[in-house]
Parts: sequence; structure tokens; C-alpha cells
Amino acid sequence: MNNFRYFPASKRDIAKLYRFLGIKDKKELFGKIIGDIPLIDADAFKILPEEMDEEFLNRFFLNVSSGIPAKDKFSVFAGGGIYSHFVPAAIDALISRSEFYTPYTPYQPEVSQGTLFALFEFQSMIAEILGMDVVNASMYDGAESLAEAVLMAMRLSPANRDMPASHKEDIILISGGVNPGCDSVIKTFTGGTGVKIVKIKLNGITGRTDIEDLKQKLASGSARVPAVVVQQPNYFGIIEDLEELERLIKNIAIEPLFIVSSTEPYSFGVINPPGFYGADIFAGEGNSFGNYMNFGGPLLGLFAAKKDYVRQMPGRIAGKTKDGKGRDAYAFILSTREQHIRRGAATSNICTNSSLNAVRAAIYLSLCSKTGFKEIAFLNLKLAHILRDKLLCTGLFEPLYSGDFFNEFSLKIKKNKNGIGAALFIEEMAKRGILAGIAASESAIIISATENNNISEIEKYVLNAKEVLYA
Amino acid sequence: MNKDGLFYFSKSHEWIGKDSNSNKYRIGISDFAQSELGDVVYVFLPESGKTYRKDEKIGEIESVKSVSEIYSPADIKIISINSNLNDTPELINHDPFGAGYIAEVEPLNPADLNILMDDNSYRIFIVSHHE
Amino acid sequence: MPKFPGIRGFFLDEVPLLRQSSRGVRGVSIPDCGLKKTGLKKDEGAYINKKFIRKDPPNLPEVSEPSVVRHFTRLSSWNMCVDSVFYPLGSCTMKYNPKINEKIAGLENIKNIHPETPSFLIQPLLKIIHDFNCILCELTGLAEFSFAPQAGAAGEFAGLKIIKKYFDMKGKNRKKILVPDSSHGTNPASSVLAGFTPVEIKTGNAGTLAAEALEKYISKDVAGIMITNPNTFGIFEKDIRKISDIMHKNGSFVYMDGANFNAFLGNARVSDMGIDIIQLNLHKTFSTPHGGGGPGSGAIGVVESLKEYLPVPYVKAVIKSGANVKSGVVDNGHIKQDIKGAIKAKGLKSGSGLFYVTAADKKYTIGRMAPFLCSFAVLVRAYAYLLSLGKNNIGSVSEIAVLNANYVKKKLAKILQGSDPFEEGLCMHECVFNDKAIEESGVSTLELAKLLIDYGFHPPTVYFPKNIHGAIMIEPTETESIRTIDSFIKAVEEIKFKVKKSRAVKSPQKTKIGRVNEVLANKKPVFKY
Repeated sequence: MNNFRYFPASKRDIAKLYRFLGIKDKKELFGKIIGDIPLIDADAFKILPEEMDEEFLNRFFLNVSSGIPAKDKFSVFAGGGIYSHFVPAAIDALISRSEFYTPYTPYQPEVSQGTLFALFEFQSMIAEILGMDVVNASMYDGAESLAEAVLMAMRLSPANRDMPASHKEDIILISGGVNPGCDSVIKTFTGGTGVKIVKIKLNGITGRTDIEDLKQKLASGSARVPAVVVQQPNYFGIIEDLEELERLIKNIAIEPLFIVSSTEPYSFGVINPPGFYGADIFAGEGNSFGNYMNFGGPLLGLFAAKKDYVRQMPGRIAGKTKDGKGRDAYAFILSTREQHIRRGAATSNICTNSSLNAVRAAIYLSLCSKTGFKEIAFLNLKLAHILRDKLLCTGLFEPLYSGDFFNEFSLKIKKNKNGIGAALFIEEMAKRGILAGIAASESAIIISATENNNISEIEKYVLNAKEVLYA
Repeated sequence: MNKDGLFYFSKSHEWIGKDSNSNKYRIGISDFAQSELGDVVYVFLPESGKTYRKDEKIGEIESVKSVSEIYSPADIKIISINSNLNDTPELINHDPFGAGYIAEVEPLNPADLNILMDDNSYRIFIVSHHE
Repeated sequence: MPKFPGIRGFFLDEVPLLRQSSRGVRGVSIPDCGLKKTGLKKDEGAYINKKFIRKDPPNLPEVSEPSVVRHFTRLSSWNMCVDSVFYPLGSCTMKYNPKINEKIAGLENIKNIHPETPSFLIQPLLKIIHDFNCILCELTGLAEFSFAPQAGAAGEFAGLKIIKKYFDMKGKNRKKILVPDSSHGTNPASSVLAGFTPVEIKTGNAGTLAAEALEKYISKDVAGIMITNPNTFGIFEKDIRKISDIMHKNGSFVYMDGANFNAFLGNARVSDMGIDIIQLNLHKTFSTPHGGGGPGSGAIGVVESLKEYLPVPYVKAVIKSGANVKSGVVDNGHIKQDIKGAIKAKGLKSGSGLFYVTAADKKYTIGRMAPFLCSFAVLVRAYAYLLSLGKNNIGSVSEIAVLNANYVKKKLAKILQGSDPFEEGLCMHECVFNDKAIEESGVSTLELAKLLIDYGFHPPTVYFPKNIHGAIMIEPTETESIRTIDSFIKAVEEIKFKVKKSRAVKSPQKTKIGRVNEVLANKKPVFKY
């Protein structure tokens, strides 16, 4: 039998190693180590097949690939937390450099300056886009990032300086406009703390977080509110009035932290970012910057905070410093917050994160440059508005909300003679090569358009929608 | 080691002593403790006005790769904290018994300080426990 | 005589891109999107309320595509990586990342799929997730895996949440999780996050946890133990079955930190050790690249009785009869047949009457961990790795990894005399030394690490585990040849016997920058430009 191609040790080498150790064979080796735990061999595998040669493997996955919708024949108009954006070829070329994708976390800064420098640029650019002081590098995804933001706010709330403390009296107010997926992840993460999650209603007309409802919930009861969470733009695509929210929150006696999330930070190329409205923490999704949708992951969690709160932040932070000769150098800083030093008292358990996706984002944003970022964001805005106008013109849809939006909006399918609701509409459209959106209720769908779409795709959407709903 | 007056030491390497200028009690960490820690980069100070029991955690000292807790050497009330440590935590390395003190305090029972180690006993304690 | 890879030192300097900006320059093309024809409104104000509009765009660098490519190419040249050097970072399993896996994950259709695409269009992807699950079950002997956790620590958190939920459902409030003091820092951190109090077990100098030593920690308040096996000294926990029995008798669970699964992949099953829950780090044992800090995946597997607690959503197979899909999970036997059938047929067929759907119907689920199903791009690489190896090669992975580690251990023990705390007996996939011998030569662990860089090696893990003085933790993996390992050992020998202190304190000298001033970095932190 020939050697398997990933193993440099030849059969002779292996024999040599056994001889060196004074051990006869694998059975004796493992027997000496694992004692009476049974040793298994190839016969134990009923599912794992025989080895595949490289070309067979290649064909195997080409077959997979051809069994799913091809990019150029399938138009994506679904967002809902992950958006189809264009990825320039330069990103894949650079990221396919082994020096970026095959090292471990930069524990030895002298041999990791490339990654650390890139992460520092990532932090700088994201800070600039969000208008925030400190950005980390990075969290898993927007949902986990937001859950960690809530935990951080609980640690920072005056009555709870030390974790784990009792949070039975605490209430986190979360806008009904926060992505329901993020919502569930927050519940999973805060489940052990006793904190209550209370939803703030959306205004039935505008689709923005209802100020009156928030006012009431902040005023009622004696419960402590460590944080108020909103998403910008929200799940239904609506742009929140952060100015109004800030005014309200910052006037509370024991001020809750103002946490702003986003699943589409590309919007901050057009609209004012959370940092301009006193957001204490930003926690959201960064996948839109240079990353593929990858059927849902891995993604890129963004996390930013005001400088005063940095010691309660989770995750790795790259910092700028000097080496012994006074040359610029980069290293992870404030590691004492983290699990490998503080163990049970760490600000988070996060270790491996989305570093490579953060580097992708850094490359992407560098390519975009100041003007490109703004123009592409504007393009998203335009295309989404064109699509919405055209769909409303068919008379088959009505707006779900009236509020302003960026590249995502929600429509209600009017009653039609086929009784087609959101779910069936999406399925029928999918058969026609269009991912029409995400069902938000029985009759409402959330639709997005990005620079990856074009006018003819939009026209195709409208035409097919007519056919599906008229037919 | 450069200090005047009488200092008392805890087993967790904090000291409490009367400052000869102000005639007020101060607390800090010992020279031995700072040398074990290495370069101090951040100090999490206790709260002014708060009272702490002996051996209660009152703060933290961080070096690049470690965190050490500061425990109260006696039952004390914090009068004021040494806010210079916020910007120049290295004072703890340079002058642990002087400018690198942690806080000005009021011992709740000054007589109890006698159960702590004096200079000499502390020296012996270090040698016997850490050599 | 083995030769060191060495470093010659060819580094290009590079300044931040922001300092290379020229107004109006950019590295991206703005698509036309067919808009020119439509006669559009000119500015943002025509679409949204002016008060929301950002006046000044974020100050991103204004540079061209070649500038960006040159910048990041230069940056990359300052990194050591698995593809360029021996990277014996203990506990991190820095094995080779197969290139075909990158090609597969990069297939145009696969990487561009939106997670909300209807199931009927993406059957082959759902099948991959489903089949990979079955294979992991076979490798571990456990009943079912979830791919919701995005990394090892997230897997730990999910596992502990499962334990928490189990006792909550039973109306019991067990608060403690036992964690050996040699464990990864994520273990106690995850315990706290899941609402438990971690109780540290002192492991002492024996290297393993003796069942008898465990007894005194047992009480009705103990929900479970988190045990790393082999542990962070690279030693197999011989008493693992006894430990499991003690825990089970107490009604507690055994969670295994599977970060070190590469030690017995394909040769032993954790079910035979009495393990109830494990997380598998796909970016370690299953060859997916670590990416300079991630992304990874921390698949979590459980025994039969805990299946209903796993995170949602998940992929399940249902029986398709005609055009209708009948609900119900297919028994394992059926699935096995299907996979074998499909693979034999040289390619994937959605046939055999199975249809794959995403579902959320886990009775006691701990809930969601992530916005979508899984880190698919990581998972597909790991799946490709297993298919490449196949059942005849998979056992060689841990066999060679263990042989290599023991070779390092035995050879280095002769050079670093008196420094192997576990000189008797064999290690598994990694070995640990203390700093006694090198200290005698006047070299500290940190200096050894930095000196190795100048010989052209990535340093081992250092100062972990904490209970070994000046720990040096070496994990060679199956990726390394004897020649490479010999050269590494020779470098350690030179450092031990030839290197002068004056050089040690200044090392590394051949890197882009010298020793980093971490005190300054932490005292006066700079977070951005």
C-alpha cells in the first residue's frame, strides 16, 4: 500500500519510530496508553467510505455544486441578516496566501505582524464606519456579538459590577425590530443569569421602535434596566430614529447602556452611524464586507464600545506599540480580560473568533475606499427603492411600514384569488430562479436589493411576481 | 526598600502603615509582590468611602499576562484612592511603599494591626515560603 | 545532519494604507446595475429623510487595487504559518490544511448560497451536513452532533447549557462543574457563562486525575465534570472510565473538551470512555485552516439521552414517498445505506427516497447559538478531509501524531535533562517540558521560544499549562517528517548548549520587528489609527 499524501512519514519511517520507542505496533502503542479502552479499526466504520482520490473528491463536490442553484441563474433578493454583496477577486487572491489562512492566533507577535497589522487596520476602518472608539477583532457573528454586548452591559450596570451576580431584578429592553435570530441567541446566552428580556413594540405605522412604549417600560416598576437594544436598520429594513432614542435613554436617572446592533453596516455609507448618537456599545454583523454568504457561515461579528468600557469588552484587541528599537509594532492587548488569563472571571469565553473574515473585511474596505464605499451604499439604496416602487405599482402588494429604509423593506402580499401567502410566494418564486425574500408573517415578506442585483433582475422579479400572484 | 515608620504586612503581600508626612494610614503591596508581578500596566482601585473586611478583595493589579487580586490587610475604610496609578501604574514597581501606595485608609480597629507581620517577620515569611 | 530552515531576513516595509491615500483613488469598480437608463433621482435625500443622511463618508484609505494587493501581500510576508514552518504549538493541532478543501469550499455555487434558500433547491448541501453528522457519530460513538457552535468555546458553552437544561427540566439545581486546574481557560469561562460555578480540581504532579482524588469533590451539587482527554500535558486520563462511573453514579455528566481529539482520532471512541458530551474543533483535528485566529467550528456531540437538548436548527432526513414528504426521522440504518449507496454510485444522488430539511423540533433544546444553521464553509472542508482519508487512513492520523510526539518527548528528554515531568510512560499527541534544564543554561522559556524563531521554527505553546513551571508544550502532529522534527530538536540542543544569554535576551533578531514592548502596548493602549 502506498503512503497517504498528507503524511510525510513513510512506512519505513513509521517502523523506525516504533523501533526507537521500543514498541512493536499500533496495538501495543495505544494499548500502553489507553489501557482497556477498546481499539477500533477500519471495520468499525460503516458510513465513512474508502478513501477518495483527489480527482474523485473534486468531482464529488462539483456534482454537489451543480446540484444547487448557480449564482448566475439565481437572483437573491433575500437579506434578513445576511446580504449578497459583490466580492472583488483581489480578496480571494490575497486571502488564499497561506501566510494569512494557515497560522494560529498571533500569540507570538514577532512572527505575526502581518495578521496583527491587518487586524489593526480592520479595527480602525470599522471604528471609522461606526463612529465608535474601540473595535475588537472579532466575534463569531452578529447574534453572538449582540448577546455578548448584553452580558457586558449587565456587568457594567452599577449594581452588578461583579459577575456572576444575581440579575433577577434586571430587565433588558429589546426592540421588536431586532432580528429574531439574534433575539433567540441573546436568550440562549443570558439564560443562566436570571435576567428578563422584555420586547419594545414597533410603531404600527412607521415600523420604528415605539418611543411611547419604550418610555412606559423605562418608567414603570423599580426594575433595573442595564441596557436598551435596537437594530439599525431594523429587521424589517426600517431606519430607526436613533436621535430620538438617544434623547430618551440618556434622560433616565440610572442610565441604561444604549446598545445598537446592525446586520447591514453597509447602511452607514449612507446614514449616520450609531456612534453619532451616543451608542455605548455596537454589536452586529460584518459579513457584508468582503465575505461570501457561505450558506450562513462562518460570519463576522463586529463589536465596538466607548473607550471607558474597554476593560469589560470581550474578544481580542490588536494594539499599536513599539519594538525594542522603537519601530512600530502590533500586539494583542488587554489580554487580562480574556479566558486564557482570567479563566472563570473572564469577560467572555471566546477564543477562536472570525479573524480571517475580519482580514477579508479589511481588504474589502481598503479596496472600496472612501468614495467607493459611499457610492456602493448609495447604489443599494437606489435599487431597493426602485424594486419597492415597481412592486407597489403592480397593485399586488402594500407596504408593511411607512418608515425610511436602506436596502431592505417589507411588503404585504394583498389578498389574491389563489390565496398565496408569503411562504408559498417565496417557494414559487424560487422555482423561477428568484429568492424573493424572507417570510415575516403569513402575508408579509422582507425583501432586499444590493449592488449584486440589477435592473433586469428587478424587472424579472416584478414580472414573475405578477405571474405567481395572478395565475 | 525605602520606607519610614512602621509597616504591617499580610500573608497575601499587602502592607498597611502610617505615612510619616500626613500621619495617615495607607495601604499598598510589598516590594516583593511587585517584583513577582513584573511591570504593572493597570490597577483596578477600590472604591473611595467603602469599608472592607480583612482579606476581602479590594482591587486588582494587572501585568501584561497576569492578574493579581489585592486583598484588604485589615478591616478598613477607604478615605481616598491613589488616582495617580490610573495614568502611571508603574509607580507600584518604582516605589511600592511610597508614591505607589494604593489608597489612604482608616483602620476600623487599629489595635488589630498587631496580628499582622512586622518588617522582620515578613522578611522571614518571604524567605521561608518563596525560596 | 539535519539543517535548520533558518531565516535570511528579507522584509519589505509598509505603512498603513491610510497614509497612502490619494483623493478620489479607489480599488473597486462600481457596477452599473443597468441604472443609467432609468433616469434616477440624484441624491440620497430623494429617498430618505435628510436627518438620517451621513454628511461625510467614513475616512477609508483612498487607494487602488494594486496598492491594496501590494500592501496585504507585504503584510502577509511578516507571518509565520503552517505552510511555511514547523508550527508545534501545543494544544492547537497545527496540521496541514489540504488545498483541495480550499478549492471545494470556494466553489462558486457553494459559497454564494443564501442560508434562507428553500430546502428543495439545496438538497446536496443539507445532505453534506447530515452525512457529516453521521460520520462524526461513528468516530465518537455518540448519538448526534450539532454544528451550531462556531468555535471550541461555543461548543463548551452549548454542552454546559445542555447539562444545565437537563437539571432544570428535572427540577434540580446543581450548581457545580468540576474543572481540573490544568484545563484550557475556556473551560471555567464557559462554565460561568452557562450559569455554573466552576470548582477547580488540583491535579498535582501526577499528570493525570486519579479516580480516588475525585471522590472528595463529589456531592449532589455537582452537575458534571469537564475533562480534557488526553489532558493538557498530553497524557491520557487512564482512569477515565472510573471517573465517568463515579460521575454517572452521582447523576452527573461527563463533558470532554475535545480540543485534543487528534490524539486518538479513528482509533478509539469517546463513548467507550463513558463520555456524555464532547465538542470537536474542526479547525484542529479536522484540518480546516485556523485563519490566524478563526473562524473555526465547535461541533457538539451527545449521547442518545441528550439528543433532544441540542441547539436548533438542525438538518434531518425525512422519507419522501412520491411527491409528498412524510415527517419523521429516518433510523440510522437507513441513512447508512443511503450514504454508502450514493458514494458507490460515484456521486451524490438525492434518491433513495430521502429528503433533507432544516428543523427546530428538539423537545428540550437549549435554543439557538447562531443566526443560521452552521459554519458551512468550515464544515465542508472538514467533510472533504474525512472523505479524502477514508476509513483506511483515518487511524493513521493519530497513530503518526502520537509516534511523532513521543519521538520528540524521548529525544528532548535527553537534551533537557530532568525537565520532563512525566518521563516514565508515553504521551499522546503532545508533550510538555518544564524550564529546569534551560534555566540551568541561563535561558528562560520565553527566550527559548523567541530563539527558535531565529532558527526558522514557530515556538511551541509556552507557560501553559500553568502548573508546569515555565511550561514548553510541543505538538508535532502527523504533518511533520522525522527530518523536520530532528532539525527542531537540534535547534533546542544548540540553544541549550551554545547560545549566549546576550543573544537570548535580544532574540528574535531576524524577524521584521524585534521583541514587542507589550508593557507600553497595555499601559497606553492605542486601538486605531
